[in-house]
Amino acid sequence: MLHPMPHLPGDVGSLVEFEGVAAGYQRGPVIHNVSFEIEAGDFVGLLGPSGAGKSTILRTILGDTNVYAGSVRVAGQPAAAAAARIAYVPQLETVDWNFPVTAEEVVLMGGGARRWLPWPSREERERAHELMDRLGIGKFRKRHIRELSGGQQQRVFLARALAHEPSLLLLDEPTSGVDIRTRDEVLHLLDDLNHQGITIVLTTHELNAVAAHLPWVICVNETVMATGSPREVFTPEILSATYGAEMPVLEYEGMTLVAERPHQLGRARHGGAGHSHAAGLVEVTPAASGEGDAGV
Amino acid sequence: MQVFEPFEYQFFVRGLIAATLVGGLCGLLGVYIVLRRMSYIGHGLSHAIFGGAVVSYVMSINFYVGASLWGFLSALLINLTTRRRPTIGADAAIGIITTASFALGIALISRYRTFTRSFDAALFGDILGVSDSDLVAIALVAALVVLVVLLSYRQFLFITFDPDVARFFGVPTGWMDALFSLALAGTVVVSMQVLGVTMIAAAIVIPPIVGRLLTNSFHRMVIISVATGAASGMLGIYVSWYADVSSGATVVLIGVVFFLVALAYSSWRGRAPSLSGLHP
Repeated sequence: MLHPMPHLPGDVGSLVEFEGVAAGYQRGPVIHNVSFEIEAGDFVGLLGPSGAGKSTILRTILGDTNVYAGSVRVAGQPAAAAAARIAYVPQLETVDWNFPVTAEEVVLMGGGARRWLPWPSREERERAHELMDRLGIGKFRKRHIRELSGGQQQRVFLARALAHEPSLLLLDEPTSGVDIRTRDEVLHLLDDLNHQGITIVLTTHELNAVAAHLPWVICVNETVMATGSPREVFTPEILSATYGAEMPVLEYEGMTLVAERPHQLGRARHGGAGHSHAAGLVEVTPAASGEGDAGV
Repeated sequence: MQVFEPFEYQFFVRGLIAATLVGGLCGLLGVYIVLRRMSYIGHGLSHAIFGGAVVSYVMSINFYVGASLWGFLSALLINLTTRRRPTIGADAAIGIITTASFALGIALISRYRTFTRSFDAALFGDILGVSDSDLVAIALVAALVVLVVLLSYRQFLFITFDPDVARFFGVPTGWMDALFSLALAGTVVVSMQVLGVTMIAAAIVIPPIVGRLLTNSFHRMVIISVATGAASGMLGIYVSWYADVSSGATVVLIGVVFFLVALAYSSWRGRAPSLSGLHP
């Protein structure tokens, strides 16, 4: 369980504020009537199925969508004006891994976009090295990005975002397509960064594996279905509305787990083995509960 | 056979310098084009600019001004079409806009028939036709493009690697794309005389691929690509003198030799980066 950084004392106001926002791309809005607030120091997960508009919300915070209705304010400014203080980590799947760049070259992109010289300044280089050391990828500086493990690759792109010196860090599905260990590594790293004062917003479709560990969750399906701690929003009603599928919620040894009503898929094997296999999903046994992720 | 014999002729020296500069220039911009998987744009743009050249001829506008402007507008139009109408992919947009422009050029030629000969040179390259003023234009474009690439080196790297995300890090991607299109249009225009419309695509694609085969570092890829392009240009002209073969074709064939050597070397080292990743 990750622990939230307590909200800063005093009324600091919202870092991100959506009020009745409809936003999307050229073909019209993808999200409708979206309202929520994120305060400085928060660690928030945008949770919902694919195509629910989670990434659209991230891109709206970055000022990269058409806002059709409502108001978006970031640090009290319209989104586009504030974008300079926001860093973004793309989904690893969208990265061109054949591109000839080393880990260090990627990290240096984060800080140097404004400099009119082909090479980085000494301070930039030192800062990049310091960040890479801090994230435990210091010894992979000269490695080509494809030669790194999934967790190291995620750290490289995280370091690039941090080189931008953000107060708000947005991550698009940082745990999709990585293995269980990498996923935990990434979540703990983000937790550390959050404790250092960086506000974090990530998108995820994984209920038990990711969202359940976050202090604050916004359930999204074209609009905001619910906001609150996982304990508050993980109810069969809210999750069914968010995912459009029946989702029983179970309590097991103090954990809230979301199960998926099993479907009988495929042809049953002779002797009824298929049937008992399906039943095993609902009866949560200690062996199955640790990394179970019924939300996928 | 006298090794230095051709150097006694001024037109040969002019051609050699022109081909070296143009080869290096195409190699430089080619890195970005190949990595963005837009290899086809060199081919398309040279055809579009051919149309622009004919139009400027017919309207008696200076070739360099008219053709560069035409090429730049074509490139902008391709970008605009791709952005505004995502259903038309970049490859289709290039295909439509540049072949339309090429066809317009051919239509005008067939209508006016008077200048078939010089446009033969534009299609296949004619090193003997490089005049002093052509050489000045090539040198000027080369200096400007190198300056632009040096000043925008890191921005170009970012938008080539990650065009979507670069925007979020404050890179003015729209302006950088336009600047790149302008540099590319200028390069293709000055390359036409030396390489010919039909050979420019190869001059843009082969040197970066040679670089990619030999290194995993972007900086080294740029250096190798420029060197390969310049060497292909220089050797190509030199060989074409003795072989009595079209200059554009020789430059490209020398480039192909470099490619084969690089391919063999990287296979031998057993770390050939997959070419499928470079060419869709």
